Amino acid sequence: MMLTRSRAQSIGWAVILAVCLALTLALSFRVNAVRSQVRLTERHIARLQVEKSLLETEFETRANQQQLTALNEVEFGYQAPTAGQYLESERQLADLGKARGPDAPPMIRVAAAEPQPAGDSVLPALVNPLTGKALGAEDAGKARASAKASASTGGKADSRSGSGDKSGPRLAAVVPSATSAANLADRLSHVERLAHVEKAPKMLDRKVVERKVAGPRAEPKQAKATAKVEPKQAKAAPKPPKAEPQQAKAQPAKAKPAKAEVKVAKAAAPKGASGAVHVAQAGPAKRPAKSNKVAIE
Amino acid sequence: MTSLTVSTAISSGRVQLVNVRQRSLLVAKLRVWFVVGAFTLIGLIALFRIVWIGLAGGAEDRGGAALPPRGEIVDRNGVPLARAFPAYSLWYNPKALGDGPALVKTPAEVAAALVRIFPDEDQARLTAKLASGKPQYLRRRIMPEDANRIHLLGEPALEFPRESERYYPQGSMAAHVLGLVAANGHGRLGMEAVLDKQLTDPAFRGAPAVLALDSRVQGALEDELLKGMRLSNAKGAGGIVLDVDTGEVLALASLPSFNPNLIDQQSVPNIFNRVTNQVYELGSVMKPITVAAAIDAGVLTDMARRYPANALQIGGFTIHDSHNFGASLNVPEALIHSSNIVTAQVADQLGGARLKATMAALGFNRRPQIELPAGFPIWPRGDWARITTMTVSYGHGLALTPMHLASAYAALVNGGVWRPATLRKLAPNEVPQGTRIWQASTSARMRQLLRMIVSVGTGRKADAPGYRIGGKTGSAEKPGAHGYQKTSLITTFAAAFPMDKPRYVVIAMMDEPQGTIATSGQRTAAWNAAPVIGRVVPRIGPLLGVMPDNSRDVDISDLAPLIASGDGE
Repeated sequence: MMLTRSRAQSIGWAVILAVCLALTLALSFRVNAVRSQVRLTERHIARLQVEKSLLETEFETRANQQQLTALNEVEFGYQAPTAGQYLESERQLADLGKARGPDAPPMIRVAAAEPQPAGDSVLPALVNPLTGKALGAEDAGKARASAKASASTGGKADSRSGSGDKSGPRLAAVVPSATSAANLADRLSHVERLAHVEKAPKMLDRKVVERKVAGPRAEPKQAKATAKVEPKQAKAAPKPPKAEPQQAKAQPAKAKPAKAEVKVAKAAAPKGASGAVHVAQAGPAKRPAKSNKVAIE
Repeated sequence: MTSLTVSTAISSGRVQLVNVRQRSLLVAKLRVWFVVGAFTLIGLIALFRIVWIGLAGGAEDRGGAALPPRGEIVDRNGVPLARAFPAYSLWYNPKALGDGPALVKTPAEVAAALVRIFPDEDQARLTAKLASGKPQYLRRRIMPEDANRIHLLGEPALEFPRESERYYPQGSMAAHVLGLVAANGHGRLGMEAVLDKQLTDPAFRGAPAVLALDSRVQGALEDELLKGMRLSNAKGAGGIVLDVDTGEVLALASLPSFNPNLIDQQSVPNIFNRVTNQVYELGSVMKPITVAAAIDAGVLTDMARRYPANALQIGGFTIHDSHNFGASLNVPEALIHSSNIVTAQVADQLGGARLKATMAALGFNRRPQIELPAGFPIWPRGDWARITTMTVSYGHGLALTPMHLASAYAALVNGGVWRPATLRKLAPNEVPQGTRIWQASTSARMRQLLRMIVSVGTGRKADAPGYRIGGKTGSAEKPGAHGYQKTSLITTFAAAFPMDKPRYVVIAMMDEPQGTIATSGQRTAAWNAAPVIGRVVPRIGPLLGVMPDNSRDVDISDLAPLIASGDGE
C-alpha cells in the first residue's frame, strides 16, 4: 500500500492527536497526584494543629493562674513591685547619676575602695572591636614607648587626648590618670557602678598575679632585680593598701622580661575594658613605680 | 444514437468524477472538522480542569479541617479560657464481640474492675448498665492512663472513643463568667450560654469569642478574695474589676467557685453567682452616691457646713451611727467616719424625688446591664417617704447586686458618665457613649472625698502606697426573720484607682465574715474587704498599665483643713 501524502498527513495528525491526548492524560494524572499530596499535607497540618492545641492546652492547664500562684507562694515568694522600683522616664534614670547636692549625705560604699591618689585613672580604655585588644596593645614597641612617655609626662595628660593614630601618648594618658576622670567617677553617685569600676581591675589583677606566682619561671635572678624596685615603690606609695603585701609577693614574677608581660597583657585585654591598664605593665621592668601601682589598683 | 450513448457515457463518467471529488472534499472537510473538534474538546477539557482545580479544588478541602466543633473563648489577651478538647470517654458497645455474649467476664466482675479504676463510681449502677446489653456511655471524660488500664481489662465491649469535649484550662478560674456546656453540646450557664449561637455557628466558630476578662487580673482577684475569705471565715466572697471608661469587666469572681471541668454534687450550690444573681443591701457604700447627688443638685455647696451628729428621730425610727463622733460633722468627716446621721440629713435636704431620679438613672431600678443573667433589685416603689429617702441614702431599704455598684462607682469617678458593663472586649469604636449622670466637677469632688476616705478614713487598710486608691467601706447587716442580724454582715469595699485619673473600679465583697484573729476580732468592711483591695491593686495595677508613683496624688489640699484630726474611725 502506497503511503500517499494525504494519508501520511492524516496519520500524522492522528499521531499528534494521540500524543496530545496522552499528554493531557498524563497532566491530569499528575495534577491528581499533586492534589492528593496537597490533601494529605493538609490533613497532616490539621493533625498537627490538633496536636499543637492539645499540647497548648496541657501547657495552659499546668501553668494556670492558680498553679502559678501556688508555685509562687511555695517556691519564689515574688511580691508586687513597689513604687520605688519603677522609673517613669529617661529623666528619672538620668536623675540617678546626678551630682550630689551640697548637703547630701555621704555615699554608702559597699566595697573598701581606696581613695585614689590625684592623677590616677579609673577610666577603662577603649578596646579595639576587631582584635579584642586594648587600643595600642597590638604594638608592644609602641606600648613600651608609651610607658616611657608616661614616665616623662607624669599624670598631666588627659585620658581622652590621645584618641586617633597616636596610641602611644594615649596609653600614657590612661596609665596615670586624668583628674577629670577621677572626678567623673566621684560624681557617679550610684554605689554599685562605682564599686564595679573599682573592683574589676583589682580582681583581674589578682588573677594575673596568682598565675605568675604559680608559674615555674620565677627565677631568683630576677627576684633580686625586683628587690631593688620594691623599696622605690614603697616610697612612692606612702600608705600601703591591703593589696600591697600581695603585690610585694608577686613582685618577683612581675619583674620578668617585658616580653612575657606583654603576653599576659594580651591575654588579659579581651576580658574587659580594664585590659588597657595591664597594657601599661608591658613597659620595661624599671618603669616608674606610680604607674605600676595604678596597674595593681 | 451512438453519439448520444457516448455522450452519456462521457457525461456519466464526468458526473462520477465530480461525485468522487465532491465526496473526497467532503471527507477531507469532515476530517478537518473532526481534528479541529477533537483538539477543541481536549483543549476545553484541559481548560475546564484547570479552572476547576483553581477555583474549587483548593477551597473545598480547607473548610472543615481546622474548624473546631465549638468555638474557643479567649480572654482579652488571647489566653484560651474554654476550648474543644479531644478527651476519652468510656462507651459500652455490647455488639463488639458479634452476636455472642457482650462481655468476656460477668458484668459484676467487670463492674468491680471498673470501680477499682474509678472509685467514685457506683458498682451496682455499673453492673446494671453492663447487664442491660444496651450501648451507652459508662463514663464521660476519662484520663488517658485510665483508658490504658481499661484496655488491660481485655474487654472489647469497653470502648473509649475520643470525643471533643469542652475543656477549661484555667480550671475553676472565672467559672461563673464562662459557665459550662451541657451534655447536648449547648451552653448551659454563663457566657457559654450567652454566646451559644456564635460558638456553634460554623460561620463564626472558627474565630474565638473574645471576652473582656484579663486572666491575670481575674487570677489575682480570686486569689486575694479567697485569702480574705479564709482570714475572716466568710461564707463567700465576690469581686469585680471594671474599666471605668468603657464598662468592660476585667475580672468577675464569686467564691466559693466550682470547676466547670468536673461538676459534682458538692459544687452545684457554688454555681450561684453572688456578684450578679444575688441582691444585697450594700450599706455605706451608697453614701458617696447620695453625697454626689446632693453636690450635683446644688444642695451641698459648702463642704465646711456642719451637721448635727446626734441620733436622728424620724417618725418613730431612730438613725444611729456605729459610735459617737461628737456633736457635729461636716460632709468630708461624715464620709470619712461613715456617718449615717449626716448622710441622712444630706439626703433629706436633697429630697426623695431627686435621690430617686439619680438612682434610677444609675440603673438601680432594673437588672444590672451585663450579659450574664442577673438578679432584680429590691427598689422602693412610688414616692419615697422621708424615712425611705434617709435609709436609702446610706444603703438600707434598697438591695442591689455588686454589679450595680461597680457601674455606679465607675460613673462616680470617670467624670460622671454611666456606661453599661459588658463582658465582651470592646474595640475603641464600640465603646458606648453612655449617659451623663453627674457633672465632671461633681466627679472631681468625689474623687477627692473617696481618696480621703482611704488616706485618713475608714478605708485606710485599702491603701497601697503609690496607687492612689480611693473608695468607701460598707458593712450592712443582713435582714433575717426578726429584723437585721447583728452578726451576719455583708461587707463591701468599693474602690477606684488611681484617683488622679481613675482607670479601674475594684469591688470586694464578703458574705458573713466573722471576727477572727486576722481581722482583730472585727467584722466590718474595714477589716476584711478593705485589705483585699489593698492587696489586689498592687498586683493588678502594673498589669493594667497603672504604675505606682509616690509623687502623684489627687489634690485634696482644699478639703484637708476641714477634717479634725480625730480617731478617724
